[in-house]
Amino acid sequence: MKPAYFLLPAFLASSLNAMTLPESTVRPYECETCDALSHAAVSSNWRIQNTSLQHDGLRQQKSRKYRVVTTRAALEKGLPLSTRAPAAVVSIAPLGKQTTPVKANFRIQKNNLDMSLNDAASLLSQNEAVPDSEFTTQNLAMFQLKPELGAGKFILSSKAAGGQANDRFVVQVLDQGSTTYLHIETNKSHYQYGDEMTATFRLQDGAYGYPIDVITASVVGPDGQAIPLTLKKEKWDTYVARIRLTDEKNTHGKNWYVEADISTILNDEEVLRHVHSAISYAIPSAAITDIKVQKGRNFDLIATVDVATASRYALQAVFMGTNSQGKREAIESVHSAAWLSPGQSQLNFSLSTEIANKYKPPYYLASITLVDYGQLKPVYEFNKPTDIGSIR
Amino acid sequence: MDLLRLIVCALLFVFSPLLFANTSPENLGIAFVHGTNDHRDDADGGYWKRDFLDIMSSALPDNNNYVVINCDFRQSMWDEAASGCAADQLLAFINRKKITRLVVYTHSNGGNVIRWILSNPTYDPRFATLTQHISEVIALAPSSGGTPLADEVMDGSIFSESMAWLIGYRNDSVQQQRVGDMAVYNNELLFGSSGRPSLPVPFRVVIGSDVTSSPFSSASYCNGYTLNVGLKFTRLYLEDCSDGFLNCESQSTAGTLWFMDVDKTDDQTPLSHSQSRHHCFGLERILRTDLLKEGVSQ
Repeated sequence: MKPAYFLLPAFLASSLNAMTLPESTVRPYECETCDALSHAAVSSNWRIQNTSLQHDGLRQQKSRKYRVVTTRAALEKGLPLSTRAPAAVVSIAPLGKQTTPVKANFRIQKNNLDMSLNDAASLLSQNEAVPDSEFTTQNLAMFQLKPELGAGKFILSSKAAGGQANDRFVVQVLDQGSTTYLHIETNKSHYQYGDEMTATFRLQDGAYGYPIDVITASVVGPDGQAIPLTLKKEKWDTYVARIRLTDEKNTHGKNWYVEADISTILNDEEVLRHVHSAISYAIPSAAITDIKVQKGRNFDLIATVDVATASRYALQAVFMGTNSQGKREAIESVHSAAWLSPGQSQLNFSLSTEIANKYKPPYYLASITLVDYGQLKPVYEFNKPTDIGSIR
Repeated sequence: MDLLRLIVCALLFVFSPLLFANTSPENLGIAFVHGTNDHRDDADGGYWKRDFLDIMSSALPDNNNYVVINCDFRQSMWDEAASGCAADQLLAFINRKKITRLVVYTHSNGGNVIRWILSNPTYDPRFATLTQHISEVIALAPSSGGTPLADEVMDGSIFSESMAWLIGYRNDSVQQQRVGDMAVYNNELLFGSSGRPSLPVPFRVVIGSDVTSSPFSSASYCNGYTLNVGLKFTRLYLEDCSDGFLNCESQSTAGTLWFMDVDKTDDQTPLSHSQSRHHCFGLERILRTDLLKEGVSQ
C-alpha cells in the first residue's frame, strides 16, 4: 500500500478528453458530524489479485420465526403457539422496563398432555434447570421443545405469582425445522433520496407458494420510526409494497429496515411468520461528473466532483489491466479522499506504474464509488469498466 | 581533494538514514484486538487471558513487542471510541517499540473494526499510516457476516440482559452486527468479502464450528464452563456449523480461510466462541508456530 498526502491545485488539471459520467442530482443535508472528520487529503493504493467484482448485496431474507406480544394475564389464560416442525425454540422476554421477573411456572399443553417445562423441553434456560449458565437470568425463559412432542398447536401458560396483569412479554417461536418460510426481496440493496423501493413478500415452501391471509409491513428508520407500507396482492401468493423514500436525515452509517408479519391458515393450522431485512439509504450529497487523465501522465487521473454538502469524500475505484492471456483483470484498488466544500471540487488518483507495467493496455477504470464519510454511505457509483486510453 | 572529501561526507550525512533504514532488521510486533463490548478495563488478562498472551509473546524475537488493545467496542466500528481508539493505541505501540511489521490478532467484532480501518485507509490519516505497518490479520472467529443473535437482541426477542455477557446490551455495535446490516456494510464500506476488492493485507480466518458443554467433557471447561453452557443455548438460534455466537458462514464471509478448528486442533475438538481467544485444544500452539515462521522470515 502506498499512501500519499497531496494538495491538488486546480490549474494542474488538463487533458484532451474526459470520461463523462451519468448525471446525478445532488442534494444537501444537515451534517452535525462532518466538521469533526479529518480535513487532510489522503490517497492510498494497493495491489489486488483474483478479485471478482460481482456483488449485489443481500436483497433477500427468509424467516421461519414469529413473535407474539402478550400480557401476563393472557399467559395465565394460555397462549396458543403453532409450529410446523418438531423441536421449535421458544423464548419469553419482558417488554419494556417492568421489573417483575419473567421466571414463572410455565406449562405446555399439547393435545391431552399437560407438562411442566422440564418435561416439555429438551434444553431449558431457567435458573432452576441450568444453575451454572451465563445465559440464565431472571428475565428470560427459553427452551427447545422436545422433538418427540412433534409439531402443531401448543398452549403456553403460566401460573406466576406477583406482577401486574398488563405486564407485557414478547414470545418468540423459532420454527427452525420448518420448510415454510416468509421470503422478502427488495429491488435494490441501496437507495437514495427520491428512489422508489419495492419489496416483495411470499410465504413459501421451497418452490411452492402459499396464500397469505393477513399481512402487515413497514419501513423502519434507524431511530425506530416506522412507516406503514401499503400492500398490493400481485399474485395469489405474492404481495408487493412500493414506497418513495424521501427522508432528509443523515443516518450516519445506520440502515433502514423492511419488516413484515403474516398469518395464514394451512390445513386448519395457523402459520405465523415475521421477517426483517436491512436496506441502505443515503442522500446524494455529491456526484462525480467527469474523470480526466492528466496531460502527459498516463496513469494520473483527476475526478471532478459536484458537492452539495461539505464533508469528507473518498473516491474508491479499481484499475484493471490486460494480462498475458489477453483477459481483463482487476489489478489495483485506489482510494483518494479529501474534505470538499460545496461546489465543484477535484480529487486526483493514480494507477501505480510499477503494477501497470506488469500488464498490457488497454487499462480500465471500474467500480467507481464516491463515499460520503459524513453519512458513511456511498453517494455515487459507476460500475462500467472504461478504457483509460479513450480519455487521454 | 579536500573538496571531494567534503562532498563525500556531505552525501554520507544526507543518505545515511536511508542506508540504515534499508539494512536495519525488521522489528516484528503483535497486537490483540478484542471483540464486542467495552473492554477498556479488562482486555489484558480478562478478555485475553494472561497465559495465552504470554505464550504468544514468547514466540517473538523481542518478547515485549506486543500490545493488547483496550477500547469501547459498544460503538459502531467507525466510531472514534472504537476504530479511532484502536488506531491510536496501535500507532502508539508501533512508534514506542519501533515496530516495522505488525501481526494483528482479532477476535469476533474486533475483525470488523480492523477491517473497517484497512478498507478505509483514507478515512483518517491515522488509518493510512497504520495500514502501512500491518503485515497481516489473523481473524479468530470474526463476525464478518453478522449474527442472528444480534437480531434477537435488537428485536427484543431475547432480553438483552441475557446476552450482555456475549454481545452486550442493545447498542450500536449490536445493531451493526445484525446479519442484514453487515451485508450492507460488506457491500458498501468493507472490503475483503466475495465480489469486493481484497484488503491491502492478508486477512486469515480461523473458524470455530461447535460448542461442547457437557459437564462430563473436559472440553467444556476450557475458558469457562458457564460460558460454554451459555453458548449452547445461543447456538439454538444458529446453524449446525456455529460456535455459539456466529455461524461458520459468517466467520468466512471475508478474507481467506486459514483453518477450520477441527482440522488443526487437538483431537479435532471444536472451538466455541469463548474458546477461540484462549489456549484451548492447541490453538495457542497453532498460532505460535505460525508466528515463529513470521519471526524467522524477517
